[in-house]
Amino acid sequence: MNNQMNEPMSRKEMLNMIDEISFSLIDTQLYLDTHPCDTDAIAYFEECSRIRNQALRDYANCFGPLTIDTVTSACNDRWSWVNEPWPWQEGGC
Amino acid sequence: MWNYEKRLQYPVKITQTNPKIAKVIISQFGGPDGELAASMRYLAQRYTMPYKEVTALLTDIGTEELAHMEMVCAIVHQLTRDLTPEEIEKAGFADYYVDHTLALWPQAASGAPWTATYLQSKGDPITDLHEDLAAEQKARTTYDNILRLVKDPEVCDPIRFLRQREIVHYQRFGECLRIVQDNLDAKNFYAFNPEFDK
Amino acid sequence: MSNYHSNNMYQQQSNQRGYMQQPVTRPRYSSNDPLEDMALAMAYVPWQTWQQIYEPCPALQRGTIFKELDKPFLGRGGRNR
Repeated sequence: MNNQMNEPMSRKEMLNMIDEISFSLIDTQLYLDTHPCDTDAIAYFEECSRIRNQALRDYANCFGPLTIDTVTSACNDRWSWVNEPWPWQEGGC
Repeated sequence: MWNYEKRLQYPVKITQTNPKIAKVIISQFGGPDGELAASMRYLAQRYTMPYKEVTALLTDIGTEELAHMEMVCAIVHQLTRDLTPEEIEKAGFADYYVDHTLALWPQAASGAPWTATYLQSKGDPITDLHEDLAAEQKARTTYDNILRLVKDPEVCDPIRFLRQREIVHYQRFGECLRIVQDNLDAKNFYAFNPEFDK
Repeated sequence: MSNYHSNNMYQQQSNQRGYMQQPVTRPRYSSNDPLEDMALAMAYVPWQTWQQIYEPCPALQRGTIFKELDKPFLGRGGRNR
């Protein structure tokens, strides 16, 4: 994944991007729970979801998995899920 | 069931410890209007809710509140990280420290332990949604109170985020109440309990 | 004062009860109540609709994608205003 300058994103930049798109997704999700027929909201949800899923895979490939579903993307012979940092630690989040 | 993502919903990066303010902020972990109570309240209410949109929202907001609980714990953890015994004593943090060292334990700022009495799951959709609307306002007020006490912008930042989420949740629960009303007779919303009477 | 001319409860109350009551200003429950068609003894939150939303970066900073729900705290410490 590259940023606008076409250089590879740092871990921090990529995580920030995942935080942003995931947040848009969840706020749309709550709206859709009470507005299940709103097609504008559904379209926005699907767009955010697509971007997020790709970003999670890219992040796992570069820096290790954020979700159990992307553990296999970080293919090696060690169980990377246990790796630090955890979100509340220095450098985590 | 639940999945976990190895990130906070909103970043928490606090570089300066402050056990005094940590003692106050811990109320949003284990206090009466905190995120743990909110999560357990909504997740408990959803099992017998007869309207699927409301069940979905209780599930989704209940889940989001767990993420908020994690943020509050991250804040308290970073505010108390690597404290010395002298710093602990000076900040009036010794009462908590003696029983928990620097670990997180769900209690209110007063020291009262978390309890299920902080929430209600009454089994009537109108009642439960009013409980939920009130809960969101109580949480918002608690964050307002915290913002008045906090000087450190690194602490204010995630607190402001958490406060704003309460306002959004209030709107959603309000819409759920409208959905419940639409499913009942406006001539008498209280004729029966749709969760129990058939 | 114009308050005493329209929606004037004063005259009706003294006629009904035969004694003088406190004059009232224009009551909140006038015919301009936007909720006047709603059933009593119930709370109502207005329906939100999908308007322009924030882009993901400001949305995360603000704490919502919805501009109309963005209601920051502007208060300060300790005093009544």
